[in-house]
Amino acid sequence: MTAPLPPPGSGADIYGLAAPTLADARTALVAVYGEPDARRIWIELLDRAQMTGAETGEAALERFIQVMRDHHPVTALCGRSLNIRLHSYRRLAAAYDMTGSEK
Amino acid sequence: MNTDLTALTGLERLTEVASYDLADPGLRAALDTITRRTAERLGQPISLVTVLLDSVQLFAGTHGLPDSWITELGGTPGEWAFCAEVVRSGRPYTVTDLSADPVQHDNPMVVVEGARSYAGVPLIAPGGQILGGHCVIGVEPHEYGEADVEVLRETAGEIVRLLQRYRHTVPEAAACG
Repeated sequence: MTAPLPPPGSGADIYGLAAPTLADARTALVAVYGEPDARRIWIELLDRAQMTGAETGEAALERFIQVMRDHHPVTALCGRSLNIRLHSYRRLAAAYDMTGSEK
Repeated sequence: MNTDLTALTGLERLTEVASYDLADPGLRAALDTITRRTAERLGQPISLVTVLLDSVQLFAGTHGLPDSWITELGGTPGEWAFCAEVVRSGRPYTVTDLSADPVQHDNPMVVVEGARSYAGVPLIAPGGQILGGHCVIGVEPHEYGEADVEVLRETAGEIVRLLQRYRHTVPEAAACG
């Protein structure tokens, strides 16, 4: 059922999916809770994760996702979403790399 | 594909979604059985029970998904979810040929995974929140009729009744912390 992947686009997105970041975690909280509550939850989650919010990279995001998944059940759903988006991006990026290396 | 996920982020809907124990093995087995029956009744290779989170779909029950990382992951980004359309509209959604559809033709589930047809209906909780969808997916173009949609609709009611047995109370999100 799997067809060949088309070549990567010009940007970092693959099929419209960008690599999720810590900023996306905050954006998700704002989208769900609204700004005032999201700000409070964001600070609380950063505190639990012992992070500043300025961290970059997948390791930091994974650490934050884990803290999200131990929070309120709705926050946990947001964390689960980010985890699926992160792994989806990884798999697509790896598939692109393989496609590129065959050319 | 539709990249607007704002319809998925409502707190009331997500609180309802969070109240179901979707990881319960008994629920999963029952939903897998239902999807197998739906696939057989509609003559399509794949049937799903999906639950839409804020930006992804989860596969709560499946029949016929090929062995792939998507199946292993248990969900996809919401942009790829055909069932996101039934959550947005609250109505059945059918596509005869996904590869020719103006919304879905560039969806990786079509371009990469080979999905060609879709019919889905919303899973509506007793409180009116739309949890996700129940659907069939074909690997060839297929025209779905009202009888097909009615089968999906009846089964969606059965699925929602089943889900109620796995529901628990979630504290208000405003009180979290």
